[in-house]
Amino acid sequence: MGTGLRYGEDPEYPDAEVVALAATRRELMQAVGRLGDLIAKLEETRLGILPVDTLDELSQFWIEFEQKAADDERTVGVTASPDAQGAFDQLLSRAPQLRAALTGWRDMTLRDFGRARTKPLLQQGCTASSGTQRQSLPVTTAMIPVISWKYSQKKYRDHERRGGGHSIGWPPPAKCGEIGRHLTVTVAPAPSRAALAFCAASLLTFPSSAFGVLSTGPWPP
Amino acid sequence: MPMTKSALDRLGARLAASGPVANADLEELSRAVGAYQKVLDEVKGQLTELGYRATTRVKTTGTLVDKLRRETARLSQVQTLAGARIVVRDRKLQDEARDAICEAFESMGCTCKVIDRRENPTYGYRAVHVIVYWDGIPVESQIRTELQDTWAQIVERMGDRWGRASAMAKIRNTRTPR
Repeated sequence: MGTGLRYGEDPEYPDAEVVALAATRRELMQAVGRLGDLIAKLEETRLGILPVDTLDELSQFWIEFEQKAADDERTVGVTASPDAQGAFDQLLSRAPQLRAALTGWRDMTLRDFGRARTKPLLQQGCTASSGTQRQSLPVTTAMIPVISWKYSQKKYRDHERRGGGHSIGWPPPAKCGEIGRHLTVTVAPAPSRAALAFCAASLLTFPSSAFGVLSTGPWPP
Repeated sequence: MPMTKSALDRLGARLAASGPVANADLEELSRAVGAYQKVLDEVKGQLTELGYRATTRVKTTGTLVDKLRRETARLSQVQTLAGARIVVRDRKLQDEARDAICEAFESMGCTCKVIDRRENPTYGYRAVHVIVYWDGIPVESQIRTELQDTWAQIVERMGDRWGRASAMAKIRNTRTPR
């Protein structure tokens, strides 16, 4: 497995560079190896999350899942506390783009509310204003944890060519013998203000499913 | 098997030698592969009886010659010449499949060798391989979970694009030959 990548057309060149990816074959194999490790962990975790061995357990799980799905159909005005609704109104008054997208938000189901709240942010970025300050936050890249091996490595090399230095947001250079910079997880920066915090993690965010991704297999089996 | 083990190894040595492959050797290889294919069909039938839908393949002449030239293995010892693959939902079913396959084939008098690549992954590849020796002919049965299979497919595609099989690979050698 992976022989073609490890050796390519030239067995003597495991360090040959795949120009399209700005990486050597060896680095490529290290990256996919890490992906394999991640999958193994995921599978081990999944065994613990969904221990459904009997039909009774499956039925119970299904009942709970349906109950949670029904909860998603209730409106925000019913499910959110008055305090949370008041706080949200205040936040909307300082975020005009968000306010426009969420007209009549109290009558939305939790599912629709989640979609309406997220869509304009993903499309445009979140702009919030307060007093004389105005800040834009590129939500698409800043708030979603991104596993970007190719992007981060190319950018990092460019950064090194420009003189280097370890700045915030960049991984430190890999030390000898350390697989350091080939797969970088970029995590959202901490929000500096309440309005930004709301964009990142809403007070009114509710899960849309009970247990996240259930299974890659047919469901119910 | 239409030839002895030593004859098979001599054929492997001729295939591994550099230069074009002789037509006589190709015909001999074709007969040997035919024997592997027959056993593979038998194994597939047994797997189907156990309730598993297996895909099968015999290595093509090109990939086999590549392997023999790349490695020093003898042809009779190449365990992956005939292979079957089963994909199951998760690791629990993977364990169950391993046990069921070993039990079924051992009860028929075959020898089974289990290679658990979950414990010892190679370059990130994880699966459980059961090598069934049917009349002395090895058939490798790969048991993968859906996610393990997805990973392997991704790596295969990357290999096609940037590895040895690619005519389009834009590769720049950054080191002088050893």
